[in-house]
Amino acid sequence: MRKVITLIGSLMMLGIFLWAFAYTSPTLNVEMFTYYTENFIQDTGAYNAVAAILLNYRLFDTLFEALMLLISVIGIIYFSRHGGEDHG
Amino acid sequence: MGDSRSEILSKMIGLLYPYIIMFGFYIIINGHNTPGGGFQGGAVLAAVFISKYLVLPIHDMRLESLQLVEKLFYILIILIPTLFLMTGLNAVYPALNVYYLVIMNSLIGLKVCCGLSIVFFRFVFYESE
Amino acid sequence: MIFLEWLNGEIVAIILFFIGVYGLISRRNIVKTVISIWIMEVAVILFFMTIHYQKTSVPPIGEAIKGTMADPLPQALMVTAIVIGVSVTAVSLTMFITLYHKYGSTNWEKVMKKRMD
Repeated sequence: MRKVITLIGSLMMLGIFLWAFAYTSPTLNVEMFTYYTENFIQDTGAYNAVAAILLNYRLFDTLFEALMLLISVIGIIYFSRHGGEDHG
Repeated sequence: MGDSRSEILSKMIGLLYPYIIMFGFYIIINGHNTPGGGFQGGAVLAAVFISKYLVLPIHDMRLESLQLVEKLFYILIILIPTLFLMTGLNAVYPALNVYYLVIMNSLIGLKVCCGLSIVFFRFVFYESE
Repeated sequence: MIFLEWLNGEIVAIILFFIGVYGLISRRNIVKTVISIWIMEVAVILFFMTIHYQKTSVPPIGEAIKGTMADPLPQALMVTAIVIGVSVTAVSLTMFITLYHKYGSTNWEKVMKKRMD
């Protein structure tokens, strides 16, 4: 019974989202896109635009993502029931 | 757990190790002008450790030293852009940009490799008991 | 093939996201909750990757490219989102294993009832 109710609820939410998505036509702001694709080689020296954005334009994204991976490793060690001890 | 490994599988994966390592370093080092980069190459390098465990189960992996190495790499990842980008050196010496990209890609790749290996070995050593 | 014209990546991403929402609210198994969160994350990644996509766009690599490039910004954002998704899944699975060894159940409601006692 609960599964049927939640299925109907999910389908209604899906329908509302699809209706809203189909009847809106957002215009993307391409100012940033044209700046990046025109200038990335002379600004950063990289031929790969994704690497240019990751390592030069949006560096803080990369830095805090690496910090996030480090913190998740620490979290895995200290949420575990074995803690930081040696395995044996 | 380790009794089910076969001779053929371990020989074949032993033949494949150099190529996997070479492919991972190729992705990392050429990340600034071909598809690829630090994260992707680091994941490929972590696959080396994982396949090594799958064919030859080892239990003397030093996870503390791997974690120390990962923290040192993270300190370097913070330091190098602080010294190079935020002081404006990249506008003064534009020729150093390529070296900066290669060094940062390598550091990020090795750090991601250490992180994913620690996650995998924590799960197989501690959580599978 | 008018059907395939209609079915682009954004529509698929919205449908996948609500499959994840259904799994999240209808099941009471903790592992299935983690899997549903991962499905929702994959849907968000797919939605971002298909933003601003045209059929004539080429990969954003190299100079003097003919035609329009694909948008490099969502690709760079999603590289980080994938790694963060892996971290979130690993941490939540570790927490689940600890919880299972402490309370002996994979059901949210049974675990909550045992915590109340």
